[in-house]
Amino acid sequence: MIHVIEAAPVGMIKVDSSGTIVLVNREIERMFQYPRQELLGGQVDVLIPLRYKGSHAALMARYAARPDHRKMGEGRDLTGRRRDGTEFPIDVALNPVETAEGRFVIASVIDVTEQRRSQAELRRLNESLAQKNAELEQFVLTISHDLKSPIVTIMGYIGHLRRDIQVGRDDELPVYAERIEGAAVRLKQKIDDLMRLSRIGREAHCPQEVSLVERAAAAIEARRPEFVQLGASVRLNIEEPTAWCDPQHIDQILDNLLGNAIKYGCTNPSPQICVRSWRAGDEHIGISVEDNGAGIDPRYADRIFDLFWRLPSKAEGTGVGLSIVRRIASLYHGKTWVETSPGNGAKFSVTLPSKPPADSRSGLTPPGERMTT
Amino acid sequence: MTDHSKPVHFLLVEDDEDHADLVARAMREHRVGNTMSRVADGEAALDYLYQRGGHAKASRPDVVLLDLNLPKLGGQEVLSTLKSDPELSAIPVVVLTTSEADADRVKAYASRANSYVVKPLDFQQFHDMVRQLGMYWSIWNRPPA
Repeated sequence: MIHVIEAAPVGMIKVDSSGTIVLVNREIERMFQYPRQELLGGQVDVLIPLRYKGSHAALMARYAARPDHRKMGEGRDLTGRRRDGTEFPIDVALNPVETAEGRFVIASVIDVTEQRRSQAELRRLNESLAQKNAELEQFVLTISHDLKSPIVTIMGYIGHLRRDIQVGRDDELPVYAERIEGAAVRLKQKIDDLMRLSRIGREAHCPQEVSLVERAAAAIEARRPEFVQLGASVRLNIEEPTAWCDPQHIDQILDNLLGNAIKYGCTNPSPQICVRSWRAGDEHIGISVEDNGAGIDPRYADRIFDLFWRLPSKAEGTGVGLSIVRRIASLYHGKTWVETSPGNGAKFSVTLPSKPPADSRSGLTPPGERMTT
Repeated sequence: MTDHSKPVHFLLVEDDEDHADLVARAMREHRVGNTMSRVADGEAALDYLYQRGGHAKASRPDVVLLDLNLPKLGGQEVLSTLKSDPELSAIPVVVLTTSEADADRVKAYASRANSYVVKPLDFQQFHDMVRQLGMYWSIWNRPPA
């Protein structure tokens, strides 16, 4: 019997009716990091966290009154305490044993650290999947709504066109043609935008150290003719010189934010745009593009990154540029937000990693490998 | 039996110029809706209904045709504001949208929309929809006052 207990793959511990340990096996020694001579003759509550000691005595007394074969703490998460005071999750099964020397309890103890970690990971994955499904559903609805709208227009005016031709009327044909063409162009723009958006998640990309000074200067240079035309001055304030991401991604973020500032942020007679980077915690950097334009009603701050959402009364754009910025940032577990108020300009910010991820769970892969979402 | 003498005033809340034009053409063609006014965003819709701002002299509409995806203030917000105001809640609101999302439909009815109509893609169906909608609300429906 002693040999069986000693060789058991789970921890086994035998205590008498006063809670004194009379037998432990090798697995108990390993699990709780106690040599057995320290445990034998001592109280079993040395193996539980100090905060539970008071209630443990009462639970032992209750068990002694109605001893049976059962799991300990059914429905509750049990915790063991190692010799060094660290804690770990355990499952315990209790077995009463009657002998000539009196009544004992043999407890089987399993370290469930890995099991709990797997369960937590599974829960996290399920939650993430549910969120992705909800996002996908919303995405499909948005697309179907926004793609259907120009189709209603096209079908409607084709109907008018056909009917007018049948009755020999031609005065409104140019109007119909113009409206059909306009809707077709909008449809094409939206499809192109969707393709751009979908490529972000599908294409392999190579996170690496990128120079924000170089990338921001190049992005500004590419937009220089537009800044000149608007009479806008652009300032670069790079406090944090590098980020860890795909160079194409940082280029796209900067170009979209600058394009956004050009479209909506240059209403001031002396437009000023500032591109800035700063340290945002230990592992991230922040990048912002700030303008001194008309600003945005704070009510729209949440919606402004939504797919196809455009500011009221703004004719330009298809409402996908900021969605792309958010999608890229999310690949790196980064954040996107806007700080603004009417009349005081707008500052769009993004966070990206400042260095390679510490482990693969961060969702990033080494240079050259495919990154998936 | 039906009162044809009283003109029926439709307010179309629609940001898409083309869709607004298509609805207006169909209404004119089928001679429904003796009057049709149009605003292009949610805030303007509430200004119109509350007769404020540039719409101070507007007359209250008999029926509102309301798109959901609107600038400034969404159609759902317009609907819930209108239906929670005792002065305006009796005005029938027909949601006229391209959205087939269950969530939009359920939310609209929860906010006491009187009807929810998805804009048909087919030209003839679009015309039939506008004609029947117009006929129903201007001829067959009897308002409380």
